[in-house]
Amino acid sequence: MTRTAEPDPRIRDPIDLERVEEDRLRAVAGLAPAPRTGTEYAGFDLVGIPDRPPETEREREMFTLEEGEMLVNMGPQHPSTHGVMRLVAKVRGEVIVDIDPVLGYLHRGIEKLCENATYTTVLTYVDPMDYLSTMHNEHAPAIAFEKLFGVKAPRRAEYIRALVVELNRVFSHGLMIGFLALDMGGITPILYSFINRDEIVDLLSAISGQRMLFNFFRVGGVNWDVNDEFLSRLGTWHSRALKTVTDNERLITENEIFKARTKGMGALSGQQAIDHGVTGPNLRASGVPFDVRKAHPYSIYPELEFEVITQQSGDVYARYLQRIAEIKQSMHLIDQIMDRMPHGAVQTQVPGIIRPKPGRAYAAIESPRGLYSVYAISDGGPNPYRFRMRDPSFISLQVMPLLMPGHLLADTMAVMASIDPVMGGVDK
Amino acid sequence: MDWALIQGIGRFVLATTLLLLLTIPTAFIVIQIELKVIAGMQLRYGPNRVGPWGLFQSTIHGFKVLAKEDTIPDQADRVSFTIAPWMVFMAAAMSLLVVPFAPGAIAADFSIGVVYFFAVLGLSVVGLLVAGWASYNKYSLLGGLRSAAQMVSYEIPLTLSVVGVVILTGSLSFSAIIAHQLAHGWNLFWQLPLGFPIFYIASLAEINRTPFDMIEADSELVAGPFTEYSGMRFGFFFFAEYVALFIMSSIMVALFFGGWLAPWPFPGQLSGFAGTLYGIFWFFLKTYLFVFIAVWLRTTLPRVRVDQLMGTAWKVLLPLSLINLFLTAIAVVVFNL
Amino acid sequence: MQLLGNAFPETLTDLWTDEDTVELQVPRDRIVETLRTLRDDPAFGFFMLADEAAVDYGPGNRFEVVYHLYSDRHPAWLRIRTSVDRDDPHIPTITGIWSGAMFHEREMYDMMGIIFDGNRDLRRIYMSPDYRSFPQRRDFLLPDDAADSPAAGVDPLERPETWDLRRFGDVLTSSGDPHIDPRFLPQADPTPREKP
Repeated sequence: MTRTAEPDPRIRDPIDLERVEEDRLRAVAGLAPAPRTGTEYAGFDLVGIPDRPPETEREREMFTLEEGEMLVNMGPQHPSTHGVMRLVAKVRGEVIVDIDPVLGYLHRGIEKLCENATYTTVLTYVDPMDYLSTMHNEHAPAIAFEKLFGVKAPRRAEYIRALVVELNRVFSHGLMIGFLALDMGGITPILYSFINRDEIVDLLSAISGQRMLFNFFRVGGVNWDVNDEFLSRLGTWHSRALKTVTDNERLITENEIFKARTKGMGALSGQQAIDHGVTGPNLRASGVPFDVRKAHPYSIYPELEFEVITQQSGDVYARYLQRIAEIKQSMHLIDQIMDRMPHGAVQTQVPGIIRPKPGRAYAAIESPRGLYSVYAISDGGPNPYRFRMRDPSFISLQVMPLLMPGHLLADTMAVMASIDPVMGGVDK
Repeated sequence: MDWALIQGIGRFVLATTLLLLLTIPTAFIVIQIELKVIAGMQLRYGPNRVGPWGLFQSTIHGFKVLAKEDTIPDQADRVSFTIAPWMVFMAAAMSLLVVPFAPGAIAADFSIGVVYFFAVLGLSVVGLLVAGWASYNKYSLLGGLRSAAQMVSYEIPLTLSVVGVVILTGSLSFSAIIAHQLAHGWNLFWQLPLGFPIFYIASLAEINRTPFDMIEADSELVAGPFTEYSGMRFGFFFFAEYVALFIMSSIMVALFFGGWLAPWPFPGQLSGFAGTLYGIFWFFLKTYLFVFIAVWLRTTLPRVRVDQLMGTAWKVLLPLSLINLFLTAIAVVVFNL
Repeated sequence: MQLLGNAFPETLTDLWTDEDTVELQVPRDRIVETLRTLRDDPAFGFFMLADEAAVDYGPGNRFEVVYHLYSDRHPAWLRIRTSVDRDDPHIPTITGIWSGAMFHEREMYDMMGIIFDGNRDLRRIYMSPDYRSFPQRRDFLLPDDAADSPAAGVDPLERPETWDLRRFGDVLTSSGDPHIDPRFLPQADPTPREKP
């Protein structure tokens, strides 16, 4: 252990076993105070951790431990599949008394980043928000910017948009089913879901060139037209589209173990769901027939025939069934779109750097997780003045402290998987 | 010089040596089966680089586990920490002593073979408890306690369902049970509605296989009692689990499916050295069929939650196994079986 | 729409309509009752809070909190804008009307520094709990932010062993009297660490 310069007194050797032993002996001998938990053996001092009392009412309620209660941390690294999120659970034995999600591990500052980017560049920045439903992430800003610029996308572009958006919905819901089963211990459905996703992603890569972060939408339309490769892959996919979904269904839906673990679990009533801002399949599984495509139609959805599906019970099983039903509905929509697609241009000509008149625009779409909306303000310059995205996963996470108390720690993952948050969207 | 005694001791030493040598390759084979079968059911290849068709993958896993650093938490109880994997592995290895491979090829044909088997298998509970406690980690402790609770609760329906077979046979020795099956048909048919299903479910829970593997679940909060173990110590736990799978399958075959007997169109048992080989062939075929089924279940089913698992053991399986016991006893007396 | 104009003559400061959005400006002290009326009155029926956002108009200028509401009785989105002073960034919370506003308001507090009076849980949601500045403000400069967080991003609240519970005079147990397990008090004299 040779040092040439004066060592920083706060940072010692990483594992200084002799010092550890020496401290322990000193404490035993009564020559030094007993070391505090966790700080002494790290090899350096955590300088001045502020001893922070709970500041808000909710914190006080959450972090006050009674007899027999324990704080358990399901940390940002855990083998469950939702991304980096931390759940601090206050448990008594195995029963959860309270739970607090801690977010921000994937925060990239996309909203602020978009304030320095031109309108076209913004569409590439929003892709990795909710990375499992990328087309939806781009769809809402595209609509909002079209309102700001006062342009309308040609009809063929709208049809192509609806097509890729519904394809995206199919594989996003398929993945949710796989993740739900994986969190319960069934290791096979996730692979079938990924086969499904792989086929669709190959399809979408034929039209957009990318497999995950499709940079496909433009203000005023889409970037490329449908090509032969896409059409042939679409035909192939279509013929076996339902197979992996029904395979998964057969594995999961009537499985007694799965039903015993999900029925009655995390039941959310319709009123609670609306109150907490839950939207999308979770809301419809609680019985509220709210679907942005019907409630405030955008794009070409007024021309397509479909109905809003709901389930009655609002528990994990209902959310699972809701997503299966929506996959089938999306496939039906894809059929209609393919039948009706008109000819025409796919992009309205919009200058690369456009300076729209000052104004405000709000656009909301139905993403696989709920109501995804964009509120954009322009000040006449080339960049948006304020670009705000409302992500549905973020808001849906608020129901965790409502649903979890009373259940066991092992059910946390099941309920989380059924809410289907994607951390990219939650943390922006 | 009692030549028979020396011969007996020599045979015993030879048998136990062979068995101890057999455990690790058995674990390797079972792990390899699991890797490839699960991969096939998930529509993917599985390991296919190490050896022809990836056949040496699990062997390399074994060597990898030997090569890893062996860490012991600073404040863990060193002695218990070291002993725990031995206990679990010894439970598995010792129970191999009574497994009936072929006529005359049982290492030790005790007259109380069944009792010996289940008694020794219960030693693994102690090993898990010690592992959980010695790790100095509250999550390991909780995991160890949970797994001990699970295994102990399922031992009761397990043993009770075997008592039905014992009543039918009138003996606790494995070779006698198989001889009875040679004469009267496989015990499966005698115990079909209750005895065999209870035994099967309880055996899966006893060896912590899916759907009852909550304690070692990945998506659970804690990694169970094995969290702090690495290297060969973890290797012991890991291999012990797969050896236990093999052993449990073999006992199930012995108790319900005729052990080394061949199914109907074939002659049940031959004599002499050819008979031994014939018995070993059928025995291994049937055992690995059940290993395959267990792996199949693992691929397909999700996990049962801990409280539901315990509820099933105490509220469903235990009463059913008692009913099975009474019915079998009544049937034996009434029909003079 | 005319309905809105008639219903809130005294609070309305601006009304504007677009192809699919109706916009209202409401002063900040009337925002809670306005939103409550909009939700509960059957003629309006705006049962869903779609979005709650904050806009910063620059240093020296105001903040604005923007609510978007949806009703199935009216075809357009309703946008409500409220001005908030930059020097006094307080606005009443609407978590009493919609519990789902909680995360929205926490995010606005975290990113802009707008303080919602009455919010039960106004703490940082994206940044670490001892962060000292507000990232989405127009005058946010990266170098002077709280990257030198003294607690290294750790939230001491989640480490019960670091608490000095005698400071929390109002922390009571269910029996009603402050009971603090003596193991959690800082040790006065050096005692050897026992193994648990």
